[in-house]
This record gives sequence, structure tokens and C-alpha cells, in this order.
Amino acid sequence: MKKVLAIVLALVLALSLMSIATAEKAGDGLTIGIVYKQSGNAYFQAGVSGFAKAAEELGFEFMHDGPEDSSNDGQERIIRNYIDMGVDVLCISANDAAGLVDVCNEARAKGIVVLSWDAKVDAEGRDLDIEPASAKAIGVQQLESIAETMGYEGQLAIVSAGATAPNQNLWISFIEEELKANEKYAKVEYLGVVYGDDDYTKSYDVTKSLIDKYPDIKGLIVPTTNGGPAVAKCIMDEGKVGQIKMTGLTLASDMAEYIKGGVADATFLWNPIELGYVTAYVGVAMANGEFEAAEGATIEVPGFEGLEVIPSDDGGLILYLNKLNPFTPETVDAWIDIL
Amino acid sequence: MKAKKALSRFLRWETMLIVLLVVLWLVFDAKDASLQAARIAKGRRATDIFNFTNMLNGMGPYLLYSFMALGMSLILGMGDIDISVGAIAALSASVMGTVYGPFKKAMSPGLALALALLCCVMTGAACGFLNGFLVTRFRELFPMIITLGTQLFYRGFCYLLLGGDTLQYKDDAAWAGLKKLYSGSVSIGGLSVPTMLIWFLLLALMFFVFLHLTTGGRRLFAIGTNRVTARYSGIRVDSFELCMFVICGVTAALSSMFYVGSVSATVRADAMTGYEMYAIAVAVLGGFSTGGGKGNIVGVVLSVIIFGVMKKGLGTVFGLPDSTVNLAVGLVLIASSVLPNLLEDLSNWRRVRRQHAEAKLS
Amino acid sequence: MKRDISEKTRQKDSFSLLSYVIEHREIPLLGVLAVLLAGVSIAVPGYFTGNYMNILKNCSMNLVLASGMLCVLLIGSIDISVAAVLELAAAIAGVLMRDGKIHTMIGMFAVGIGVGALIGFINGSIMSFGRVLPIIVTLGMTYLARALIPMDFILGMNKIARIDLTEYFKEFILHEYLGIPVIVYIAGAVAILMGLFLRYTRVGRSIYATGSNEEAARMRGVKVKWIKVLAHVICGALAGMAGIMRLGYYNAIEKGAANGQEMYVIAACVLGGVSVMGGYGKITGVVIGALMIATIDSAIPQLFMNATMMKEFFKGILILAAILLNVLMQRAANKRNLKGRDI
Repeated sequence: MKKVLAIVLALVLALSLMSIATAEKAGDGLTIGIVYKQSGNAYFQAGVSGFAKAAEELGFEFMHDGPEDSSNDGQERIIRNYIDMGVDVLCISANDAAGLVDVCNEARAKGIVVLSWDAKVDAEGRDLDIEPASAKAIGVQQLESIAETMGYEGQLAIVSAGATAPNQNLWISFIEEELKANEKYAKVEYLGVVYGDDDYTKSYDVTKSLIDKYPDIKGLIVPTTNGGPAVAKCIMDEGKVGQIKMTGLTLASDMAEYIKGGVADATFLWNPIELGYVTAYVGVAMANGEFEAAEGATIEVPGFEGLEVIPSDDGGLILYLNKLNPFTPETVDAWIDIL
Repeated sequence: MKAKKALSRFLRWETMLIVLLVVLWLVFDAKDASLQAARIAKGRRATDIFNFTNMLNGMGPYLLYSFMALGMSLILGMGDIDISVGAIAALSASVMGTVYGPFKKAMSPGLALALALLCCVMTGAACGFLNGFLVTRFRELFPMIITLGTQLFYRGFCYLLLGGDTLQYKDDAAWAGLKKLYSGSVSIGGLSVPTMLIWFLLLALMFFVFLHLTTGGRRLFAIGTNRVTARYSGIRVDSFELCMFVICGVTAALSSMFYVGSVSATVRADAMTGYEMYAIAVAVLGGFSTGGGKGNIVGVVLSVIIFGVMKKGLGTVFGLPDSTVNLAVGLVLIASSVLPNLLEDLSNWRRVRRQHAEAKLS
Repeated sequence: MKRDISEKTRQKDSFSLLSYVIEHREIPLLGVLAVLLAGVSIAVPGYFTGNYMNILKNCSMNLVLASGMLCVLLIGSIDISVAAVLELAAAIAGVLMRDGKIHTMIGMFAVGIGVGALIGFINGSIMSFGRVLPIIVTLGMTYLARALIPMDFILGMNKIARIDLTEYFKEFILHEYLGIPVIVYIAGAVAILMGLFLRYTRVGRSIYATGSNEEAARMRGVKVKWIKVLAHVICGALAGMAGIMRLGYYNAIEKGAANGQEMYVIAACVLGGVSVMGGYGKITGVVIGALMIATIDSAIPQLFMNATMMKEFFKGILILAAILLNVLMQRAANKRNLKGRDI
């Protein structure tokens, strides 16, 4: 019995010493709860690794989870659990911007900082939204890239994620707007959007029927990481490499072989690791009261410049990283292990 | 003899469920205490994660499928199954959301909401009717196959109504009242009890009375035990079964109202996907087998609570991810159906052995 | 009495074509398939010529799954975990290939089939010896298998991408011999072997016997419980095999990738005239059913290109309608049959 007691005391002592030794870091004692759209999604795993990197530097603890079925109520359940577990910051990538407002406000009423990253929670439910680039920039950059590949003429279609996906719908609306507004796209015949539901099989199948229906199609935009490889594989299987080019938002590791195989001249993605990293820094600063989300406020994050809070379209506040990385046949190899 | 009676009472399913609940509770509580000790040792503020008040107030997400679990119990009791309840709920909510807009223009918001809620229930009933109709008219196909098909149909209908958008009425006080359904609570003896729990218990009471104290319930179990003998003993099997499917549809619609409240009063076409599985799991753990003919509503109420405690505890105290919690659900589902059979085998085996022994003696 | 019989046979002879059709349910099914194909071909010009290979490719994975499902339905059971088993088998095999533990095609199939068979064995054992209803067991198994896929300590993966697979494997499944891709050969072989197995082996006949009357089968000395386990092992093994085919076809697998597939597999069987009560069903019917599903699948996007919301809706309605139509036809045929027998 004495032995056990001695061991316990020694452990307690060691732990308390450790806590003294690490007490210097800014995030010490803070817990961040990260909620993403879906468990087992490589993109969000990358995002979480950004949080992990920040955790090493700042010393906070974090938990992360997403529902199995990318549902609204699954996220609500996880957020409630995190509130009970006493997190200080919630970083949410929402499946539905409006659906989480209530539970987020409950969290804020308990003094928890609520940030949304990657996919916003509506303005009335969040403290700050952190996004890689403005929706317009993301949409227009993809359009310009594919239009250049197509020589500014020919048929173009979009293979999107789910029909209810808010990010994709926003980007697509900017793409459509730009197509109408800008003269240089006059000869591009826009066919419309098909939905692959972020599901490999469905994305593959809708692409196939798209190609069957419009054999002369020249360009595809795939603004979703889950759909990209499916569409690329389909173009390859149909023997249309060279005739049909795609672009979109994809992970490098998913697409490396296809990009080098000539299916795409370039695809894009911001770095979700950086996105997670910055979100963690903002969260810690806000929880410590060192930084307040207000128009014009700026924050210092190692390796980033000019991070400034600006008003967003939905009447809330937003912070852009404004870094979009192109993956081309030459550069993609360098990204494989990262994304 | 007395001891044996006590033993058989102890082995009753509901008693087992209570034991399971107590065990789960103690495990979570102990783990919670050790977690807090660890936090204090690290010099951090302690948060009591798992306690009665937290559990009571955090019951919300785990009550959403409880209503349809009651309806599902009726269906399972008859030896049928209904896989389409999740889709029925989504369609009911979609209809409610879609009609509220035009209604609001024509009348006062309160009345419009009442009518929209009525439409929601009617939609659930209509879907249940279609299920029941097809099930009773096409006996060659199992209810499982039929509801698998109608599920696609209902879900497709949701997409036709709503498309890909999230439907919401911002700054609408009446519509926002739906949130109260989910988050509201009343104070009973100093405890704030969620209104949703009270609604559920009321409905469960109604189902209990129907199932265990009226001839209707006896008919239902008779059908579940043997459909043919039930028909010959004068029960109008088809119309009775049809009625039960309608009731099941209505409970799905009730679930959907609370669900809409839970997601900040928004409606989406993909709402409540997979809830049918939760409903079935709850009903089966509650003691309704898909073979039909047996079950007790008390068990279902207990099993709703057990699932809530289990999911909450595994998710918070043990910090397991959502997918792992589902693994536990799967295990419980299988275990809870194997266990009673094994117990029965055991008692049969003992009886046979005793008979053998008696035969030898004589 | 004797006269009576001879009269009956004569009567049968005079209706030989009709009775042949009644006896072989596949013939009206073939008709429905032809009508379906013709209808789509008229609506979408050049549909059939451009798509028949696609239809075959699309239906091959479904057909392999449906062959397994046939065994299970024949004994009066059902397995809704096939899609989840498919994902798990493909995920495990994919991880092993990514980590360089397997390099060969045969190794991949062995792992896939092994994983599937193991899960099928668990399913079947729980049903047979724990006396639990099939739907509950396989429902629980769906949860279990899906939950196992993303767990770090088991698989350490989120998904398998093209980059994780060997060149040979990526090419093999869609490699064409005589203008037909390997995947179609595999499906064909599975269907033929299944047909032979069910028809000509003792075990195959025992499966039918168990499904049509369990008690009678037991009396005749069939080990009913083990036959049930075996049917589930076959179903699981084929699901695992379909997982490897899928991995070879799409070069990617992740959790939930085949979500909902079980529904189309069951639909293919039911469309093919397999009785969900057990005891009746033929592989030829299943093949036709799978072809029908694949036709509907590939035709609908062509018909409703710009109305994506409608697609699932119409797919559901079409499948439901086809199943109900099949039942009605069945009833008409049975009625005729009874009339012919003068009952």
C-alpha cells in the first residue's frame, strides 16, 4: 500500500513539475474543439495536422471529430459534447451554415470562442470566420485556368459536390456570374452543373454520362476534393485525355498521377494545414483576450503577413489567408506528402 | 420455488436493461472522477463532465429518434419492419417548411405554423398509409423490400420540394418557436427538465396503454406471433396493419418537428438520414424482436435512455469519435438480440437436464 | 385416374409455349429488359450502341454482389451489410498494397475474399447459433464494418488513392481481352459458377431445400444451420471480391463509398424473380435483374441531364415500379397456372 502511495505521489509531483515547466506557452491550459464536416476525410485530417503544429508551439490541447455521414445534427451532437467537456475554443467547419447557429450561440453564452474555418457558420452564430481566399477569387481562378487551357472556346461544365453544399454553390455562383459578365468568355458554352455528392462512384458516373451526352465537351471544373480523382479517372478511362481537360480544387496526392498524365494542366488548393494553423493561433489569441475580432484588427502569425479582419458579405467578420497553390505537372510532386 | 420466481423476474429483459443502465452510469461516473483528478493534478480547472443534470439537459440529440422508435416498436411487434421512417420524417419536415411560407401570407403567423404542423403530421400519415397499403397488398415482398423502395421515393420527393437549398425563415418569431420544442425546458422540483423528454414520456405512456392494456395491443401481438391464426381468430389483419403503419408515419413526423427545432429551425432535404437505423436499434434493445409477437414499451423507454447515456458517455468522458460510438451501437444491437436467445437456451438446457435427472430417479 | 393424367399432359402440350413461359420466369423479364432498352434507345438516339459495354461494366460489380445475395435470399435470409463489407475488404487490401505487403493480383483477391468470408461467417454464425434475425445482425455488422474502416489503430488510413496502388493492379481490371474488359469476365465467371454450384452440387441443392422447407430439409439430413452459415460465407466472400473489383475499377476507396449499394443488389435479385421468402430464384434471373438496374442507372442521367434532383427520384420510382410489376405478372402467371391444373 505504501508503495502504491509513493508511486502516486511521485507521479503527482512529476506532473506538477511538468506543468510548471511548460507554463510559459500562450495556449497552455486551453482546450480547442475542432469539428469538421465528416470523419475520415483526408482534407480535414490535413487541417487537423495544422492545429497539431500550432499546438506544439502554443501548448494547447485539442480534440477533433466529425460525424460519419456529414450531417447537420451529427455536428450539433459533437459540439454539445465538446461544450460539456469544457473546451475554450470551438473551430467548426459547418455542413450547414444556418443549422448550427443555435448551438453555437449556446456555446458563446458559456464564454467559448466560436470560430468557423473552411465552411462558415452564419454571421449571427460565430465570432469570426477564417477562410483561405474569397469565394470570388476561388471561383474566378478556376474558371480562368480552365478557359485558358480551352483556348477560351468550347463546352464547359461543372461537376460539383452535393447539391446542398454551401461553399461549392457560392463558388459556382461566382463562376456563372463571371462567365456572363466577362467578354473574354463569350465563346465558352456553359452546360451547367452536375452533382457527384462528394461520392466517388456517383462523381464517376455523372462524369461518364456527361461525356456520353456531350462528346465534344472540352472543359470540366471540379470544385471538390472528393470528386477530383473520380472525374480524372473517368476522363482517362473514356480515352479523352488531351481532348477534355479539367481543373478544380483537389489534393495533390489524389491527383498527382492524373496531372502528370495530362488530364489537368493545373488544379488548385489552399493549404488546409496552413488554414488549421492560422485558425489555432486566432483561437488561442481570442481565448486569452489578446485579440478581438473587430473590423480592421490584425494578428501576427509566424509565416503569415497582412492577416486582417474584414466585414463579410453575410454581415459578419472574416479573415482571409489569400493563398491558393496551383498544382501543375512540374510542382505537384513537391506537394504529395503535404496534401 | 420462490427463489426461482425471483430469478425469472430478475432475468426479465427490463430488469437487465436497468442493470445495464446502472453499470454504464457507474463506469462513466468513475472515469469522469479520474479525469477530473488528472486535470486537477495538472493544475487546470476541473469540469464535471458527466452528472445527472448534464445528462438530463444534454438528452436532446438522443431523443430525436425516440418518437419514431415508439412507432417502430408497433411495426416490429407485428413482425414487420419500416426502413423508410427517416425519409418520411425528412419529407414531413420539407412539406411543413414549404407550406409555411404561403400560409404566412394568408393568415396570422401563429395559425400558419399550426396549419404547417398539421400538414407535417398529415404527410407522415400519408406516407405511412402508402407503406401500409403496399405492404398489405404485396405480401410476396417483405416490408423491408417495400420500405427500402418507398424510402428512395420519399427522399427524392424532398429534393423535388427543396432542391439543394436550406430552407429557413429568418427573423420569424412564430417559426422560431419550433426551436422551443427542442431546447425548451420546464422546472420540476428545482430540476429543469427538457420539454421534449416530457412529450416523449407522454407519448410513451399512450403507447404503453394501447399496447399493454387494450385489445388493440393484444391483437398486434397476435398478428406478430402468427398472422394466419390471427386472421382466423377474427382480426382484420390488413386494415389493422395499415393503421399501425400510419401511426408509425405519424411518429416519424413528430420526430421531424423536434429535429427542425434542433438544427436552428432549418429544413434540408437530406435531414435525418440514417435515423431509421437508430429507431430500429432502440426498439430492438428495448426488447422488440423483428420476429414479432413480443416487446414492452417500458423497455423501449429504458433503451432510449441507455442509448443516450452510452453515446453521451462514450463521446464525452471517453472522448471517442462519433464513428467509434456507432461501433458500440452495432455491438449493442447484436448483443442485445443474441443475449435473450442464449439465456433461453440455457434455461431450456437446464430444464432438459432436470427432466433427465427426474427420469433417472423414477 | 390414369385417363385424367394423360388428359392433363395433353392439355399441357397444347399450351406448351405458355407453360414454358410460366415455368421460366426469366422470359418475361427478358422482355421487360428489351422494352426498357428499346425505350431508352428511342429517347436517346445512339444510346445502346454507345453504351452496351458501359452497361456490362457497371453491372459486373453489382452482379457479383447479387450472386452472393442470391445464396442468402435462397435460404430465406438477407444481408444488408454487403456494401459495408465491400468497403472494409477493399480498404484492408488497399492498405496492405500501399504498405508493400501485397504485390500480386491473386494476393489482393485472396485478402478481399478472406475478409469478406470471415465477416460472412460471423454473420451466419450469429444468425444460426444465436438465433438472431438476419436483418438485425447485418444491420449491426454494417455499423461495425463502417466504424472499423477509419480507425487509426486498425487500418491507419483515411482513404486509398490511385497513388497507393501498383501499376499492374490499376491496369488489370479494365484491361481488355477480345474487346471485353476483365471485370466483365470475372462477373460472368462468378455467375456461371454460381449457377452450376446451385444446380448441380449437393450443397447447392441443400441451399434450395433449406429455403423452401427448413424442417423437411432437416429431416432429410441436411445440416441446416451450417448450410445457413455457408450461404452467408459465400455472400461475404463475394462482397469482398466485389470490393477488390471496385478498387481496381475506381482506383480509390474510402468509408461510405458504396453506401446504398445493398439496396440495388437486393433490387436486382427481386427484379430477377428471386423470392425473398427463400427457396426460389435462379442465377439467370439475377443476371437479367442486374442488367436492368444497370440500364436504368445509365439511362436516367442521359434522360434527365440537367435535372439532377430528379435522378434519384425517378430511379427509385422505376425500381419500385419494376418490382411491383414483376409481382403482378407473377400473380397473373400463377393464376393461369392454377387454371391449367383445373384447381
